[in-house]
Amino acid sequence: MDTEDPIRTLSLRNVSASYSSPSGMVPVLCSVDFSLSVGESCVLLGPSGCGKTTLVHLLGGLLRPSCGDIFWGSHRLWSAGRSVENRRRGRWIGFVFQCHTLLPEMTVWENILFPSRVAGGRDFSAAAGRAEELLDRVGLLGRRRSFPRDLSGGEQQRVAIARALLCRPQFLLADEPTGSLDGISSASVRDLLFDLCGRDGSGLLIVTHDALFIPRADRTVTLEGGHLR
Amino acid sequence: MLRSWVGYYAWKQLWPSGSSGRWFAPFAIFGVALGVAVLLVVLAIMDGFQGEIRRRLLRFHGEVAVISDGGAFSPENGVLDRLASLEGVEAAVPFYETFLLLEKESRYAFPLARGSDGGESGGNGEVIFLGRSIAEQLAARPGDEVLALSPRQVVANLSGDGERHLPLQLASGGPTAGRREGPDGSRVFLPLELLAEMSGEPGKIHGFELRLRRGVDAENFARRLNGGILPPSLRAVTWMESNRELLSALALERAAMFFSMAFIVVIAAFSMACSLSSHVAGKVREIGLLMALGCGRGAIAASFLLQSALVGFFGILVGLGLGAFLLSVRDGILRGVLWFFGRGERIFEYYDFIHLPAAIGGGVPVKICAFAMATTLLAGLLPACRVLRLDPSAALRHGY
Repeated sequence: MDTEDPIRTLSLRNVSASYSSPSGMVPVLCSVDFSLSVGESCVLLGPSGCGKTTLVHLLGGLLRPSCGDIFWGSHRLWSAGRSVENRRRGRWIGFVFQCHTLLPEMTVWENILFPSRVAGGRDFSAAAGRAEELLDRVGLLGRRRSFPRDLSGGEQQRVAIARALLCRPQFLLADEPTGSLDGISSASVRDLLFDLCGRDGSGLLIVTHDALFIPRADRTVTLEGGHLR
Repeated sequence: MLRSWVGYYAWKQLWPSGSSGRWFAPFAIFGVALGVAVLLVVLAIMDGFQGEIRRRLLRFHGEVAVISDGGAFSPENGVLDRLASLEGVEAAVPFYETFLLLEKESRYAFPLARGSDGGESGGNGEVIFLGRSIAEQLAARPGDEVLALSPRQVVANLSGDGERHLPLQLASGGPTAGRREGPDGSRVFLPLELLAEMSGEPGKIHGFELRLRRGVDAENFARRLNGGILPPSLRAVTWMESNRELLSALALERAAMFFSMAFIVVIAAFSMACSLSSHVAGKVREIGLLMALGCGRGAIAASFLLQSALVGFFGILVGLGLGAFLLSVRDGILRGVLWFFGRGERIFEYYDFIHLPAAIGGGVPVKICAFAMATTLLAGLLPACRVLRLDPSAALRHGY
C-alpha cells in the first residue's frame, strides 16, 4: 500500500478492547462496528470512562484491539509492519487532544510545520505557505514565534488544530478538544474544527461532552456500556 | 530509515530555547569534555615521561646489543669492524659489565659498573665516572680518589686463598650528566680493559652495543642479525628487551592511569544517561504525541540516541581543545600547584626535568575519542530502549 494513496474510510469491524487491571481484564468496547468516511463529521458522546478515547486510539492505529479488525480504506491494521502505518497516519490522519498537545521546545511556527518534516515533505515553501494560511485562519499569525508556555489553553488548542490540518489529512480525530477550555475559547475551537475540515473535505470525529457540537455534525453516536448506539 | 525530523527533534531537545531544560546539553557536554581533556592530558604526560626515559636510556646504550648467553667471551678479530660496517649502524662499541665495591672515606657503594671503549660512557686511564646518585652517596667530587674492588677480588680476599687484592685507586671523573634517579644515575663507568682485568677476565667482553642510524627500526635490525648474520654463539637484543621490566612497568602505569581517568568519562556518561532517562520520563505524553503524528518508535528512540551522539561529539571536540590548551600551559599549572602545596621547583630538580614532558601519539586521541563516543552512545541506549517499550495510547492517556 502506497503512503500517498488517500484513505477514504476508517472503520472498526466487530472490535473489542479491554484493559488489564489488578482484578483482571476490564472490557471497554464490545464488538463495536463503526465507520467514518471522508467529508463526514461525527460527534461521539458518552459518559466518562465509557471508552471514547479508546475508540479514537483504535481508529487512529495507536491501540491494538483485543479482537476484531480495523481498516484504513482496504488496509487492515496490525497485519503488517508498523512503519507504513506510521507514515500513513502522519500523512492522512490528524489528531487533536484535550491537553499536552504541543511540543514545548518548539515555537508555534515550528510546531505547525513539524508534521511536514515527519511526512518527509520536500516542498518546504508549500508547507510554510499552508502553515501561514492556517495560522492566519486560527488568528495566531502574530504569535508564530511564541512558545507554547506563552499561549493560553485556547490558543494552544488552535495551534494544535492548525498543526493537525497542515498536511491536509483525510481525517481529523479530536479527543475532547474543548474539554479544558472556557466557553468563548470552546466556541472558537468548535468553529475552527467544522470550518477547516468542511473546507478541506476531511472526515471529522469529535469526542466530546459538549452538546453544542451536535447541531453542526452530520451524525452523532453514543457509546455506553461498551456498545455504540 | 532516519528522517529529517529525527535530527531536528534531537537538536531541539538538546537546545530547547523555550523550556527550562536548556542547561542539560551544556552540562552534559562539559562533563564529557572534562573526561576527554583529562584523559588526553594524563596520557600525553605519561607518554612524555616514557619518551624522556627512553631517550635517557638510549643516551648511554645502543639500540641493539650483541651478547653471548654464556657470559663474557673473547671476541673474534674483526667482529667489531664487521658490526660497525653493517648497513644502518652508526657506531659499535664493546662493553663489559659487573658490580664494583666502591669506597671513599668510609662511604661505600656497590653499583653496576660498565666498561666501555668509547662513546660518552668511556673513560681514559684509571678514571671512574660516577652516576649522580653514586657520586652523592660517596660524596665524591671530580679528582677525588675512589677505591674499587671487583666481586671476584672481594671473594678472593675473603677466602684468604692465593694472592690478596688491594683496592684499585681510581680518580673520580665527577658525576655523569644523567638523572639522579634512573638507569644511568646509579651506575659507574670506566675503561673496559680495566674492568675486565679487575674481574679476572682480561681481553673478554660481555657484548657489543650498536648505535643505529636515525629511522632504523631496532627490532627489525635485531631480527636481521639473529637471522644469520651473527654466529650461533651470539644474539642480538634490542634496548626494549634489555629494559623490558622498566618499560612494562611504565606501560602498566600508563594503563592504570587510563583506567582511573576513564571513570570521569563513565561518570559523565552515567549522569547523562540519568538526565536523558528522566528527560524521557517527563516526556512520555510528548512521545505519545509524536507517535500520533506518525513518528515510529524506532525513529523516536533513534532521536534520543542521536542526542547522546551529539553530546559525545561536541564533548569530544571541546575536550580535545581543552586538553590541548591545558597541555600548552602544563608547566605553569604544575608550578602553580607546587607553589600552592609549598613544593616549589624542587620536584623538577629531583626528576631532573626543566619542564613537564608531554607527547601525543597518533593513536591516543583516536582511542580517547572512540572510548568517549562509545560510552556516551551506551548512555543513550537506556532512554532509547525505554522509548521502544512505550505504548502510545497509554503514553497519551496516562503519561506512562
